[in-house]
Amino acid sequence: MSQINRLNTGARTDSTSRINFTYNGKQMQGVAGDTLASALLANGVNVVGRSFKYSRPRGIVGHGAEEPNAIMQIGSGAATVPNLRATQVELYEGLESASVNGWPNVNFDLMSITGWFGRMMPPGFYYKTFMYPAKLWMTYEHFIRKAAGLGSAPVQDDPDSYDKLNQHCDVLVVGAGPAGLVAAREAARAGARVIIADEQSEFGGSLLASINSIDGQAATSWVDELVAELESFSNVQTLPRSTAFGYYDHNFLGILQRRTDHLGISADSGSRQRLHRVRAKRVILATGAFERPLVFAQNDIPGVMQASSVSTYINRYGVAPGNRMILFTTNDNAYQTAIDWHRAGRAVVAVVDSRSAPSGEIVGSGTGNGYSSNSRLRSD
Amino acid sequence: MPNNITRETPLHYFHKLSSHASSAQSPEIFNGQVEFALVVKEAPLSSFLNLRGNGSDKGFCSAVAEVLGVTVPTEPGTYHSNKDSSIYWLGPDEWLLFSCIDASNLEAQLRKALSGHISIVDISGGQTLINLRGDPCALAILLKKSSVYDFAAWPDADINAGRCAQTTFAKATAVVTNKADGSYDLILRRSFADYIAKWLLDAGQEFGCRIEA
Amino acid sequence: MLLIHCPHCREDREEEEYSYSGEAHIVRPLEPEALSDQEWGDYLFFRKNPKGIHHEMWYHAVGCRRYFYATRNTLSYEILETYKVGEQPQVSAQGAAQ
Repeated sequence: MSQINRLNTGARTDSTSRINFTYNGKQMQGVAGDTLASALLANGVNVVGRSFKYSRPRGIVGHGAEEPNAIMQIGSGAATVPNLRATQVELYEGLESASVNGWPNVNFDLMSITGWFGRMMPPGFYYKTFMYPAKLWMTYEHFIRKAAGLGSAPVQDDPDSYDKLNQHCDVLVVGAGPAGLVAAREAARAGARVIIADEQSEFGGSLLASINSIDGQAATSWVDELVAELESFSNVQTLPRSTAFGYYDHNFLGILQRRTDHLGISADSGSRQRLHRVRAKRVILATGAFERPLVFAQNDIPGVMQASSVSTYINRYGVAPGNRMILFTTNDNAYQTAIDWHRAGRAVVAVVDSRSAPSGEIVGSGTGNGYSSNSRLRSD
Repeated sequence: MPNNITRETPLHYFHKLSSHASSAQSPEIFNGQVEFALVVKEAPLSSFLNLRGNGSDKGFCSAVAEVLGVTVPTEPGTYHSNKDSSIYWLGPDEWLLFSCIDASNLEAQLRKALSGHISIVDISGGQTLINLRGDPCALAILLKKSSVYDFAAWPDADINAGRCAQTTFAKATAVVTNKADGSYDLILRRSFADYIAKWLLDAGQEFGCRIEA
Repeated sequence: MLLIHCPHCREDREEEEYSYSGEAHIVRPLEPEALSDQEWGDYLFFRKNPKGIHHEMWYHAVGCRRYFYATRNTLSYEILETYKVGEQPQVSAQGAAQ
């Protein structure tokens, strides 16, 4: 399969550096800087999973921790990891991935026939229906687990080691987007001991997918400069690939750092993951926001994607997830996605806006940018 | 004490493990590294005395200072030392004396010099001292792995004074002190010495950790 | 995990260095034999267990190995003060209520 949706404009990917990986046994190629999700989209993969019970096909809708559908089994053997989001898995050479549900496979799923008889399956039809007789539970369970799509845990001993550090700091910044980066820089300049953690592979947050400029320079180069300054301080610890997962009494936080997961399925030396137990004098939560998806009938079918995710795939990863787009929005912000889509050389079929008279600056700039106002549909 | 009794430090056998790497249980810990950023070294047999008394009593302090040549630290979490001896603050009325002077001799001298409501206990048989030195970053991470205490907040030690803290170390406890050369001394219970030494080697493995005789 | 200031070490230390030793300022009766069963039972077993400001005893087991007192809000877990045995609290439930 070739990368039919690959653009050569990704700000944080290097399209000259190819990475081979497999998805459900098929050989595919991505590029350096890709996540598994962006690589799958580049290869034109639409269906990545199946829904519970009715086995409706599901595609990628998000680009980060919010992704509900692209749940993958990564690797094989002793170090295999079930149930990782493809949007959070960094691509490495030889990565093996497989969808966790769908049987015999995600594209043709026998369970989807339950969808045809959906009216005959009452809402209360769930796994406990199969509890009796007790001696048959083991038989049922085998198939129910398949239907549930939970991936498979490794059966051998874990080959990796894990460790923990007790950290102390004056200021802990959770999230390295524009707000977190500036907060960390100001604290560092004032001489405070700073730890800044972000769950993504690199700092920058939403700016990594931004084509706007800050202080007269491209957002991404502004990020690079700021990160370089932070790393030059001896009183700053930068923790990329680190998820803050708990905020406990007296400013005690837990952070999980994935140290080698982006290099391969198992660590060559040292610990694979590290737990940071952080005691901070001050904590700044700069975690940003998720886009809230719109609710409409059939909004779970493959091809429906969040507007911010579409922009992220185009701008950050250089992947246009499709050819023709209808944009459905309730605010001005999503018009940027139409502009990005158009710049990617793809067709914006229509913009559906639930408001009667959208008139923001960015709405107007879209008009001269590929789609005419008469192709804009209104729900009213 | 009869002369034919051999006295050995709690970790006397540890450096032998590194020179006989093939027989070690975890060869990768000892010989898998070429570069060593960390060095663990146990101090020779020394005297440890637990001293209790009134630190605001000038007579008490001057008597101890006279015997050891080291002033009693009254500031919490500090120690004073000279070439032969150190006094570590353990509590508001409790100190740990570490010395290369013979313990029974030292105890006798102190008992002679001190009077009143005091306590001196010879705990030499139950303790050992390990010195940890090496790359400052590696040392800092090793300590972060091992203890909840914030050692990075300490100011640098002087040649004859520094900070000390009795705190958790791995799943045991230790008195940790910083030294003027940037290294750290750990004072451990004898019964935990083997466990902590192995812990240090494991925790320091990523940097390369060597045992020095 | 609480962060507790030890009034002897004069440092903030982690909760795992301490052990909790129950309610503070319980005075042992001078003449136990003069007490009724009810009074003796109250002294031995019954504790305030308030919602809010609570004076309690902590033992710095791994550090200086001394007991001290802490005033803690049992709702928010905020530690309002720590003080040495023999001293009196600056913060009390009555004071906080005013």
